[in-house]
Amino acid sequence: MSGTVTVLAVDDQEVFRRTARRLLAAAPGFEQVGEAASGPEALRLAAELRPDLVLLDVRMPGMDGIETARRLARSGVGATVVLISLGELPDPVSLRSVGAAGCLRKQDLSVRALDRAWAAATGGAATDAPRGRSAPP
Amino acid sequence: MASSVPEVRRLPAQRELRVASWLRAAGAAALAAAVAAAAFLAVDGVRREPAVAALAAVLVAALLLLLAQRSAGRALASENRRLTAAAATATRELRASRARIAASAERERRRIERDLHDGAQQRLVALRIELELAEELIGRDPSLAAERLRELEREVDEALEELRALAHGVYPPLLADRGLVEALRASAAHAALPVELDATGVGRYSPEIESAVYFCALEALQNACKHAAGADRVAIALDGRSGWELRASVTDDGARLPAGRLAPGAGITNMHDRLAAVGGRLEIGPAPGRGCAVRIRVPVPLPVRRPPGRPR
Repeated sequence: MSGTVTVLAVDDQEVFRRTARRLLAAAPGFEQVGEAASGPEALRLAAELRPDLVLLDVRMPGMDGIETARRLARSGVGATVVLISLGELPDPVSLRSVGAAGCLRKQDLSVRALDRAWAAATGGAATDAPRGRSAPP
Repeated sequence: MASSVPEVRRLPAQRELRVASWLRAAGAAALAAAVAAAAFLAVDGVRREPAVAALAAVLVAALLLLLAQRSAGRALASENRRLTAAAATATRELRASRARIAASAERERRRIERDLHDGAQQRLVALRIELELAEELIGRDPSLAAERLRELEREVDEALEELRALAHGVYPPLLADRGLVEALRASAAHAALPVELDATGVGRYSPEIESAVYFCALEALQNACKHAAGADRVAIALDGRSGWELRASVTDDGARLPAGRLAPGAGITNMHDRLAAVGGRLEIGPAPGRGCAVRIRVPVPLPVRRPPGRPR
């Protein structure tokens, strides 16, 4: 794994896509390569950009995040999918069944949370970029 | 669509029927008396016992009365069947309308939940994340952090405005505080077309009536702005002078409504149901001259008469 994790952020809400841009810009070791506003757009961009990580909103009109994750896994783009949700988090069983590596509550998203989620999803391989702040114990 | 209740209109039929059956019986009795008199006169030369003639007359009268009653009974039974069927139809209509009102309330709740989720909630969560980013920035670049915080302040304002607009959509504060005319005037000021508002004799009514008329008039106004081809202006008229009925109309000066073009969509069904819930009704048709007119009528409780000579 190279030093930089490329990220595709997927959310139907413009407000949140903007926040994701700022978050990823501020997160050392991560680089946003694209953003999508819907499931179908996410599938297309994932195939085109081949990101390491897809941050995928659960609740979207039409094809929701769960279905998008399932199709991403089937399409074989090989991206690690982390679902993000404003409401209830999907249970671990359905997470595994759709091939998502993890999930995060939207309100908990931060540089550290992103880092931890990436580490957990990839089996402890944290990004090797220098941290702006020390990680919590 | 307008839920008229048939049996209410047909109530006088019962009384007419009773009167008719009594008239028939009276006619039969008169006929019987005439027959008896004729029989008595015809046998005058023969010298029959008057008692026999009288008995015959009574028997004929009784027979005729019986016949009249049976025919009236049959007519009544058929009328009863018709009324029962009419009542069943009215009940079905009422149930369907109630189900639609419940479904539309449910849709409304879901819309509010979605608006909260997509709007204020997203903004607040985004703010929460960005505040943390700004906090990290303070150490590294205080002036950039300060600039970011000012941006976040604007975003708080936007979130507040969104919440205010959402609350306004649920129940406009102006409608609660100042009533229909002021609330409609304020909404009309933001319409896409110039609106002329004319109100006479409009007072304050129950919140259900005021919100039903307000939202239907607003829906009609939005429809006119969106769909009325070539419309330059919209006129809203409110009339509460009768004291027992509030009338409202929303009229545009666009193209005349072609017959049959108006397929009732969800918006119009909503308007019907919303008005039906307060006993009102909706008519949509061509306006005099050109354009389209939406007419709303809602019964309102008669104003309470105060004893004379006592100032309010």
